[in-house]
Amino acid sequence: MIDKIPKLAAVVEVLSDMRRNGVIGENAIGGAVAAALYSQPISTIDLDIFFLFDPPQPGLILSLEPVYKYFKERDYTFDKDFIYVAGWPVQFIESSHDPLWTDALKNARVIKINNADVKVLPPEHLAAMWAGTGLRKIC
Amino acid sequence: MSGEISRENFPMNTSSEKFDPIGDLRRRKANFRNYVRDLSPTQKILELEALQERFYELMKVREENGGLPVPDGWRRWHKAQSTIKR
Repeated sequence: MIDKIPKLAAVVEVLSDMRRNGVIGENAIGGAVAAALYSQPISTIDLDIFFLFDPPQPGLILSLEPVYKYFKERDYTFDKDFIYVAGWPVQFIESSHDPLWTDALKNARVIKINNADVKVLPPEHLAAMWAGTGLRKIC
Repeated sequence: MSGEISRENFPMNTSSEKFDPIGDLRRRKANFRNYVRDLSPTQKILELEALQERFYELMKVREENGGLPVPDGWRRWHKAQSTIKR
């Protein structure tokens, strides 16, 4: 297992590529996967990526089209709000409209997965997010 | 492990201490939790991904044996595995 590379590492590479190409700006892993990284692995199905556009989109109506365009151009599979990346159903959550989410991104912690730096939302913010949604899934 | 949990097939100590299978399970769970909490992030993710595979297999077996169907979210996960780019 020491030599095995997690599939999540491939997702991390994609996120880095998206940032290099200006598709997204600041981003971090949230949700149950983030919680698993702070505690113990708990069975969870999908991966939530909280992010900001850089530069921010003008106007009041937000569009995730730049994100979808990136994946469509590279023939990734879509399933409603999810994009299948390296075996992970990934959901991108734009975070500029929520002060808690924005603050969480600003204070994201850096960890290493397969020697790559990965940002993860802080545990205190994760707890506040879940409390705010009544422990329902953030979508 | 096969068969029932009993004094005969459990590697317990030989003292006169009363056999406590629930207490022993709790201890083993706690040991495992302590072990996984100390793993590196990479190892935790590997454990998580292995857990997903085992969990899905269990649900598939359950469904195939007349039990509850595999939930939609897990069907989505399984579908995502087939899209892994090699």
